[in-house]
Amino acid sequence: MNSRDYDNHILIQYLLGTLPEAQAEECDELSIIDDSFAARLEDVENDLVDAYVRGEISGQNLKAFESYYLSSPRRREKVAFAKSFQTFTEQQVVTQPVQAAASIKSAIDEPQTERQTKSDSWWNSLLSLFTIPNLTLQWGMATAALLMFLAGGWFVWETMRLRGQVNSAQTEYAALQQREKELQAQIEQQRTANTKNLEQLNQELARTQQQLTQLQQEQELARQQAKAQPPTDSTEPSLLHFELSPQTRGIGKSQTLTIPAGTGYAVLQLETEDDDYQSHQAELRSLSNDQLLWKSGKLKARTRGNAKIIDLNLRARLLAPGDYVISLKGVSASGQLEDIHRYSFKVVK
Amino acid sequence: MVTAFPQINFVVDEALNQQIATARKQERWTPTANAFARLLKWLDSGTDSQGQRYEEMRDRLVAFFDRKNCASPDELADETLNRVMKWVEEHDRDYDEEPAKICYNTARFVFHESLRKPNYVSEDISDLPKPPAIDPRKIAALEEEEQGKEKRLTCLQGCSQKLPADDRDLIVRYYYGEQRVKLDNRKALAAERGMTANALSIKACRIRDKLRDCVTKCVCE
Repeated sequence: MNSRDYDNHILIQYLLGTLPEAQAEECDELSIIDDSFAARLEDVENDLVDAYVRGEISGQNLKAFESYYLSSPRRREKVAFAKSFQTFTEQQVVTQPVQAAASIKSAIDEPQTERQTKSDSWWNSLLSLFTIPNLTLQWGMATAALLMFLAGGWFVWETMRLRGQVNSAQTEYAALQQREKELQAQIEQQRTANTKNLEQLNQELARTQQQLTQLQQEQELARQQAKAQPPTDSTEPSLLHFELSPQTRGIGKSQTLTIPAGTGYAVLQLETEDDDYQSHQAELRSLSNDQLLWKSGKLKARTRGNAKIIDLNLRARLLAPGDYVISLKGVSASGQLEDIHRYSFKVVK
Repeated sequence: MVTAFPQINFVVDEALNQQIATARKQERWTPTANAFARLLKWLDSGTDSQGQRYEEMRDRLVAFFDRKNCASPDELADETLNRVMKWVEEHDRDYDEEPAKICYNTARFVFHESLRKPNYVSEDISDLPKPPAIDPRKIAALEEEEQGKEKRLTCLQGCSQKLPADDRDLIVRYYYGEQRVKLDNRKALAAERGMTANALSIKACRIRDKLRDCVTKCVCE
């Protein structure tokens, strides 16, 4: 059995009478025969009583304390002492600066008392000359002590205030650090995203440059091909002129018009005799089915020697390969239409 | 009185008178000065504690009987020491390997005897009759009120002034604060004084005991 086998919890249970009997008997014995156990037990008991006075005990321990521990007058005396002792220690801690000042004053008082006891000596009259200055010194020292106490109090207060500010600043600093981390993380994310975007843009740029190069090559090739081919007449007329003579009453031979691809218009010049008509009108029909394909507005004849010419401007696409007939009519002064000539022709492309 | 221990202070004289009074009250063997001196020597086991060892043993015995909820722990402690004194005297012992063990065994006998006596009163709350219930807190509060907290505090301040300044500083710092603060104070105090935690606690307890005894006497005056 060793006193070190018992921790504070067991000692408290022993002091509160809640330890099992066998263990309690062991503690009984150790409390008398073992010096270190007895010392520890007393220390734990003092702390237990102080804790009770401070209201730090609760639950089962509090019940046991009140039902068992306080049942003894001697132990109640310990509690009563602990209450006063707690007040005393708190006063001592608070009033230490005042006591320091008092001890300074008592240190001053002692020499003064000594001087008074030696007042009969012949040279004491000489020392008495210093009495008033010393009194002033005493008051001065006491005042200084008081000022020191006040200054000490102010320093304590100031320290607490500054400590509060430091704590607040530390909290703020921690918050700012956290914010800085977040921002750095955001910047990093942004940087990563930008890098990706830049890579995409670079890839796109490379593709575009490639396409551009290809186009340049194609252009160059086209240019070279163009140089190699014979020059074409870019001013090639998109108009083709055909002169059509009117059919006679007999069977006439149909004229053939060859219209190459790319021809925009076919200008048909209709020969007619001199007449007195105010104007003329022409109709284009398909010879195969007599379908009216085109009809002109009022036409004016122009003179060429003894004959007159009427120009018809037809879209070349209107004239598909096949046989056609144009009927030329004259508009009389009264506005009536009179048939004048027929012009038959064959279109070949 | 005790020629073998001229340095023993008046505390020991008081203790002897107490032993004699207890013995006379119980009409038993009356201790002599010689027997008492022999007891002190026997308890010291060859050293000279100037009666301190006797005081410690008596305090432990009183606490032992008090934890057993005996009605008169002080009387039972004195009865125990009387019997031990008689035993030492009869056996002509100046040394013993375990005087504390003999004291403990004797105390157990005394305790069991006290249980059989009609004047034994246990104040354990479970032994008390239920109605009317006694609330120990009320008892404590009443007693404190009677004794006067103010007077106790005044006595404490007076008694503390009798302590050496160093002891006063130690005890205030040792017991000041709550839980964690108290532990930190004690660590700092032990480090500052170059003492082990155990040595510091023993010293603090002794000063506190001394202060409590002084306050108890002061309040009774």
